Amino acid sequence: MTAAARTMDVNACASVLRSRSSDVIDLPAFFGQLEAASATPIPNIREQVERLLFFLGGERHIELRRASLAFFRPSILAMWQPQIARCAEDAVALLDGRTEADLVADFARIVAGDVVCRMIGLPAAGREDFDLWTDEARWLTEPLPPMRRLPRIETALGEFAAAVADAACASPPPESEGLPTFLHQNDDGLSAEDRIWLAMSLYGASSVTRHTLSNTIMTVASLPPERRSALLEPERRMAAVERLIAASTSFQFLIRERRGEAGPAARVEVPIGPASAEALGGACPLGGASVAGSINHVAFGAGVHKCLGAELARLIIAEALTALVRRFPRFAPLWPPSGFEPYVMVTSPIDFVCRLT
Amino acid sequence: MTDAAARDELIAYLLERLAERIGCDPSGIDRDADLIELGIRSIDAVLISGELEDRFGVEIEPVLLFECRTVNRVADSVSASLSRR
Repeated sequence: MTAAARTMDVNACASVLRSRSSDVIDLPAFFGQLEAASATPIPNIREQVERLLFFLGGERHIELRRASLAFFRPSILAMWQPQIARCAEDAVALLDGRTEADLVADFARIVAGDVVCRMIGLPAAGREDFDLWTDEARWLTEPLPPMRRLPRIETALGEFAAAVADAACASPPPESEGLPTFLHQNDDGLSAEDRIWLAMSLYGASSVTRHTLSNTIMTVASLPPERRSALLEPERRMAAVERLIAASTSFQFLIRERRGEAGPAARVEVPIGPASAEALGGACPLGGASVAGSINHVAFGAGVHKCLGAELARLIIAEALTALVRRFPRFAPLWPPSGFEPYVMVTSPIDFVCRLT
Repeated sequence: MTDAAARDELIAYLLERLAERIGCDPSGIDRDADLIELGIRSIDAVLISGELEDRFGVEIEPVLLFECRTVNRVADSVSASLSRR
């Protein structure tokens, strides 16, 4: 491994991510070697990393990505959009009558978790458990997971897999209201085993949306209330959301391994978060945007590993911010966050207590 | 055990584990050599830090091996953690 190479230019980042000479870290191989060398059985971890699309390459990645993408097609997202908006409104309604709230725990976590539970076909009542298991399992995707965490991750994944398998065998939960759910569709060619572990992987990936939503809430709170009206104007809203995502993405960098004839394999950190924020050129995220997609950023990655839930993430963040600003147009922080999540690649506030006005 | 003796034990163990991972004799490892140039990989850092944790009872992040870069500096950092217990 050589020292990390960094570039802050958004086009250079995209170029590295699309390059055929750079690839994702091979997590299945990494954990296979770790299991063999440490003589510590980690069967659940092995099952999960075999379906983490963000860290999978080759034919298997293409097969699983294609099957998963079928669920994120525009027609399905359009069917879900009214319910996503309703989830956001319901979460804001829970804040009614309060003068202050932690918008991470009391809003961002609820909206993102509820929407993804419903779409996957998991009972929303289990959301807190799913979040706990997912938070533990996320150490798998950190660059250097400590050995002491592996037993806890192994247990968390085992419990999560059992809960998802139960949900897959049962009818879709009533809160999914008859809409298509990932666990209960059967026209994509996935095996039952793949579907369960992929569902866990998708739920885990959706936690990035929750972190990014928390960051965008912080960004909105930092802007004058009169600017926030962009989130209430249908023709400007999605462009504003795109700029907020570029300014506030929780993914700080992606790791790629550069291979080829130019020299020894090198690990490259691609700073997608800072580069995306830089692409705004210091402009106000809620000012002046009128054309959707006008900001060129890489907050969702690029190339064959680009976030397959990007459109869903946009929808969740848009509906959540719109509902929040409509009900509390002047919400403002009471004090700074007490800290930030302890992960290396993804960052967001642990809490964000605001006055609700 | 004195701090110096604990550090010596730590270095001896670290050299032994490092030698096994990179396939050489412990006595042939320069304590001030760059671990990356010696050939340490991510998986080695994860395993060695785990073994150090088990042996000395102190939490060690794998990234420490890449941040400290030499056996002596890793030993300094872990010794400092041990003496703070």
